[in-house]
Order: sequence, then C-alpha cells, then structure tokens
Amino acid sequence: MLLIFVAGLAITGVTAERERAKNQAAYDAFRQTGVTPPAPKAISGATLTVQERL
Amino acid sequence: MTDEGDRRGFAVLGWLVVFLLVTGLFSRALGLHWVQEVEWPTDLYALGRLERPSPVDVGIVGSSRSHYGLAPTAIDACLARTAGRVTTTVSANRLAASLYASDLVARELFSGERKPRALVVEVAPESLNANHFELDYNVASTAGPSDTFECIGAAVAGPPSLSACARPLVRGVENIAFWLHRPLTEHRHITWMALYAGGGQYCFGLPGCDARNADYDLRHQGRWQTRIDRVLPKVRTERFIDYEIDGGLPARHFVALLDRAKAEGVAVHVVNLPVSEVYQAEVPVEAYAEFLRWVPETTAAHGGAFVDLNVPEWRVRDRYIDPDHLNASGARALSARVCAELAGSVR
Repeated sequence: MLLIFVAGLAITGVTAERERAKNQAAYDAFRQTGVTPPAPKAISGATLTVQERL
Repeated sequence: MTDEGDRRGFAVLGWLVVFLLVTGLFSRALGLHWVQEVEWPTDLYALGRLERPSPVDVGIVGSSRSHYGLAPTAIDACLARTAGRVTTTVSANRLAASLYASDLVARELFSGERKPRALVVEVAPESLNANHFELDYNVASTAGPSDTFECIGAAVAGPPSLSACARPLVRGVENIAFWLHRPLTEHRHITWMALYAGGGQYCFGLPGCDARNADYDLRHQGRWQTRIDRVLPKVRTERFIDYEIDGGLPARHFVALLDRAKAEGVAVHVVNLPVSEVYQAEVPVEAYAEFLRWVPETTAAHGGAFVDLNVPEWRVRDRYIDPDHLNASGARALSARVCAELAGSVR
C-alpha cells in the first residue's frame, strides 16, 4: 500500500516537473523569437451547468 | 469492541490523516493545488510556475468577466505606447470568483517577489456579497491550509459551510487525480493563452488571434439567448439573496488585498466591469446602491483607485457574447479604456 502511495506521488512529481519544463522552454523560445506555435482552437470546454456559474 | 479493535480503528484513521496531509503538502509544493475539475478560465498551474525574466507590470484578478473583458495583449500594446517600452500584463481568473478567491489568487501570484507595478481588481456587486452563491466553491477550490481557521470562524456565524473549510486540508488527493487525468478538453487552449498571451479569453496582435477570436464568437452566438433563458431568471434569487457586504469573507479579503498592495507599493485599480442592459435590469436596485456606496469609499480609504465602467455607454448589446461577458470587440475597447487608467502607474 505504502509502495503504491509513494509510486503515485513519484509519477505525479515527474509529470508535473516535465510539464513545467516544457512550458518554460516554450515561453523562453517565445521571448527570444517572438514566434508562437499555432493557437489551438478556443473552446469553452465547459458544460452548460458550468457556464451557468461563470 | 475490544481495546485492540479501538487501537486498530484509530491507527487506520491516523494513517488516513497522514496520507491526506502528505498528499496535500506534496500537491501544493508542486503548484498542483491550482489544478481543478474545472480548470477554465486560466491555467493557473502554468502561470504560477512560469519564471519570467522581469517582473509583471500589470496583474489582473477576477472572475470570468475580467477573463472575457480584459485582454492582456491589448493592454500591453496600449501600455507600450504610453510607457515607451514592452510591458507584461498577466490575467489570473477563477471560475465564479468572489473577492475572497480573487484575494487568494493575488496573494500567491501577485505579491511579495512577484508583485506587479499595478493590480487590476474586478469588482461586481455579487462578488462582494457575504452570502456569495459560490462561496463554498471559492473556499474549497482556492483556499489553502493556512486559511482554515479563518474559514471556520466565519462558518460559525454564516457562510461558508464547515465542510467547505475542511476541503483545503484534504484537497491534494483530488488535485493529483485531476492532474493525472489531464489533458482536460480546454487545457491546450488555456495553456497557450497563459504562456503567450498572458491569459484572458481574447488575444490581439499575435498571429492567428483575430481569426481565433472571430471563430470563438461565431461558434458561441447562441450563448446570448441560452443565458437569457437559463441564467437571468436565477440572478436575483441566487446571486443577490440576503445581500450584504460588511463583515463577509469577500469584503474582508477585499480590504486585505488593498492593504497588502498598499504595503508593497502596488498601485491598485478597482474596476467595476460593465454588464449588458438586460443583466443590469436583474440586479436589485438596493443591492447595487449599497455596492456603489461601499466600494469607492473602502477603496479610497485603503489607498486604491476606483473606476466605474458599468455605465450605459458600455452596456450596449453588440459588445457582449452573453448578458454579462464581453465579446472580442468589447474586450478590445474595454482593455484600451483600462489601459488609460493604468498609464500613470506603469512607466
């Protein structure tokens, strides 16, 4: 049980750090070149129930 | 039940508490406390962990209204002309944010070493209601463990509920679950906006932005009528029920935000964002009068500047995607207007 718990935290830590590094690299490249990757389609992503709370 | 049985029961409970606390602390240390079941409108995880070469010039906090209505890229384009340099504006918004949630976001993302030169704070009459319709959600999704005692103190006399106060202590498990569940449907889009456009719904001046804005507004044309049918009938009974400002958590945190900014030398611009005529008609006159009496007076007393943009000239239909959210053309115009307010604070 403890092993699963520690493994879960480790996977979370690794994926979070990978995403942080990916975001930072993308941002740094943008600062240097002024070029952005193509913008993904802007979708609300929210269900109507969520939209009612906006 | 034997003594042995009692001991085992307490041991299970003890381990459960340890598990929840460790997970919560771990999640927070990684910035994953921002990852929620509804991440929209802002990818606060991406914004929160980004390292910038220079301080942010303008921070924006608020709800979906400032998310739609204020475009960081438009504000920066305008400020660049008045300041004579490239500026950085960042918008960090929360779903259905009261001033309680806005203060917690500002406290973490726009104070201390991360303090901006100027902070734009969205206010609306409902966002200061002590009985805010989403106060439980605000607490459960945005508060940290250190906010628990204050929350419990408030819960004794009224909202939020005690169960909401407990959520920040145990939220780590759900934050991690939502993190591992990524990507959520809106994730790529909001991360792109966080990294390249400073957040917000609309962007201007970057390749593809105009087409993207137009596409979004076109695909959401039905939103105006849908929200008239589904949201407006509930505004009075849901958002303005038992309306009062003084003494509530949102008001207390609004003052805390003003005081912290003043102590740090941050210029605070409190902006009453516009809503359309049909939405304004649903706002109870007495509540709105109390709001307009309390906010300017309190803002001035704590060193901020108040600007009221919820005036008839901003309430015309063609500026809105729905009754209380601006569309792309409305956002561009409003951003230019707010830029004029900021010009003196950002040099």
